Amino acid sequence: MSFDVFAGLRVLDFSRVLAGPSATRLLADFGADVIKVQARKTSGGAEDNEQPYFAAWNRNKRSIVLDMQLPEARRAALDLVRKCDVVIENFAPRVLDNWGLDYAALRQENQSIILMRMSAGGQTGPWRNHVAFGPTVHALSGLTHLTAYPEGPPIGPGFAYADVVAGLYAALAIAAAVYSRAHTGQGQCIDLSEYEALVGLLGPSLIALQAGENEISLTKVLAEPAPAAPYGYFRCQGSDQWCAIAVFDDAQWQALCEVLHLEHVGRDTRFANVAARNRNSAELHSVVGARTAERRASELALHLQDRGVPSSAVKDARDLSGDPQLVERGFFVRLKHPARGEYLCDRGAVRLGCDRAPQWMPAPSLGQDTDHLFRNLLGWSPDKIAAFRRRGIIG
Amino acid sequence: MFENDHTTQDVEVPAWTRYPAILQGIRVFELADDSASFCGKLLVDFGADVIKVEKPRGDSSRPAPDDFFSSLGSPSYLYHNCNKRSITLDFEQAAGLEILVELVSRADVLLESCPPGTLDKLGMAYEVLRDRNPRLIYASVTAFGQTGRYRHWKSCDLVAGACGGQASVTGLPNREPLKLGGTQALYLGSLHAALGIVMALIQRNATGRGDRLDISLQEAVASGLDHVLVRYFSTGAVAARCGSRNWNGLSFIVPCSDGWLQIFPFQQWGTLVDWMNAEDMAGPLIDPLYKEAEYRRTHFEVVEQTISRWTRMHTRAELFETAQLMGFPWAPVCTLPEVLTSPQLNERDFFVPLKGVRDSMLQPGPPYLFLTSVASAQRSSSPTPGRENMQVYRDELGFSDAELERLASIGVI
Repeated sequence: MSFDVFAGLRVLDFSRVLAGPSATRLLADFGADVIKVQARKTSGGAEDNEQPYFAAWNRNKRSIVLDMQLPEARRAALDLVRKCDVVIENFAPRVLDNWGLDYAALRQENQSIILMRMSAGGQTGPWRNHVAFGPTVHALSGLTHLTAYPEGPPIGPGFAYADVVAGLYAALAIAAAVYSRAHTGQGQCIDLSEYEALVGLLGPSLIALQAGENEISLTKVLAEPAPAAPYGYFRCQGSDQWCAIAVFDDAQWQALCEVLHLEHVGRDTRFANVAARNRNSAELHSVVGARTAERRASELALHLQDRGVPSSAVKDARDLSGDPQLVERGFFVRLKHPARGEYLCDRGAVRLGCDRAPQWMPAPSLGQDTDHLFRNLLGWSPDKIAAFRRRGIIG
Repeated sequence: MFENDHTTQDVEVPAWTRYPAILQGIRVFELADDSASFCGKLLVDFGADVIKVEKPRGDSSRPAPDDFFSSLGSPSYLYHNCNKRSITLDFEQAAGLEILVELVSRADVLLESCPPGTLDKLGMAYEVLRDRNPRLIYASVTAFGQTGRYRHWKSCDLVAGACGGQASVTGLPNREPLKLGGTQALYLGSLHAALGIVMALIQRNATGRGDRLDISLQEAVASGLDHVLVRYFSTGAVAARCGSRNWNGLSFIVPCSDGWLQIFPFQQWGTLVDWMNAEDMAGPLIDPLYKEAEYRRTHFEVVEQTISRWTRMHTRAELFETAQLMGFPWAPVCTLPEVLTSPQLNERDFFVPLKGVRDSMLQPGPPYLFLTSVASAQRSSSPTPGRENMQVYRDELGFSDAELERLASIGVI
């Protein structure tokens, strides 16, 4: 039952790469009919149907090829809009406008259409025509600046985190609009800025800043709502093996000291409480680190968690794939592509209702659904479809 | 320019708003610490009635590390809890539990982040509450989910990022990992929870029934790693830390005269070399060998050093402006004060007042604008514990003053 939340919802998806596709993947995972509009010229890189990246982020979707440079293709797109509930795009704002597919035009075709316009900075403003990928937005938002070693240059996330966040906000906003439309009958136009989404997730830091905190003491308030010490990564046995350890109260501190055979340290007044441990953090880290270096990360985390101390090995992709908790919860799903064979991906983190394994479709190959869609959804004749194919309008 | 309309009245002409009252009439009881209080914020910003249930001595995110915030609550508390109502209730006492069950029987959503099994043991399992209120949406956000052998493990933002895979790919190789700035793992949990709750509301329209939502912070992190799991499952490659260089080498950070700049130098290589060459700074990069991606990869240090020598001569603003005009996705690495003064964010009225603190304090607004005819009112600042006790217990539940005094005296409220 719970995988049909969006059953009956049809989405015309112009989005590309990750931010938009991750949103429409969620809708598709839960039953929406997502029609991905692709073009032969631009179906490369992350948008190459034959590549694993595309296979992971575009499962459960259909694919049509439409050359939106051509006026007949734009007319066909408007015809499709009449049959859809949602249109989503993540181009620079002028693109959809230049195609004649702005909200006013879509409403002419379909009064209750929901249009989601995702962009780096929003549909308006001095930077609305800026080009951006994930790292661009990380840099602008302050996240890159904050993701750095204490004395070093900025580093930033090692993956397109901004796109992940934008995708979640887009799915949330679309779901809200769908919910609203059920009550009001009205559609929606939504202007979502990936830059704003990321800045919003640094709210507490921006508030602390205005309170007069200088940059140095910001690290105090940035770490966690509740202060903790130790709070960081400790080297463990082996190559590049680390354990994350967080100690929030005295009981956890004593437990850590016992696990690491540091009972005398547990009695040392320099480390008596969180505030004291923060004052002596360098020495604390050194003392704790000397012991963790003798332990294997997973085994140490197991031991600490057994004693109620928040901790975990720093897990990489291989560790995740074999993580007992993820595996037991069926986090990984196997999809079967007719030509490319089986592949694994994760099922996402929304678990609604009874927890059975989803029955999902692999990602589509380029234009696999063009004929079917134009025939069944728009009622085009085989002759018209053939003619439009010859002229490169559809493909 | 579109105006923001903050009134609750229907307006005849639709206007853009960051606060569409889509969830007006939906009542949420939030039994959550910072694992999920941001979820409550996402819902309240859509007009839901979100009532925080706090222990009579306040929730764990209230303690603040320094004097400025100590009487108000921490920055996180202030940010997450604007416009929510607050009641105090000790539901571990029998009398308190009875009240909570009664409150939830009249609610649409229960949002909780208690360790798995806690509410079950108290008699508040989903199956029990559902009998009294079949329309209830029971949303749980926990470290590792409601099931599985490690469901009792403890977490926090640091640990969730580590067990979910974010840490292993962030930072320098051969050094300890870096945690993303802020509390990103916790926010991912909240975003998934809000999304799941709205999905459950949509489902309820069709079925008339509520549902159970189980969000694991570990899964929220692990499902949002972009290339990491994809590359492992397809090629066996284990993504590693690369410093500021992204995994495919196409982007890195260079120094300018006044800070740092995020650049993507390889997309329009010829144009970039021409630009540098016009200032006699192209150096060895003028060699046609560098036109090949593979050559640039194997001679990355030369590329990075030559470009850095040039960028050091410029301010970030100069390069940002020119680069973007040429369609390069470059951007300055902004500090937090620079974010507050961003021309783009300010033109779009992105920052809104944070009430209840200093008059001039600002906070980020929601990142989306809805073109709709009904906005939701910006009611209030984040609540003090129990601010709405009278409203809820006396006015809505009908408790007498005497009963309320008695309950307060035994620490139930």
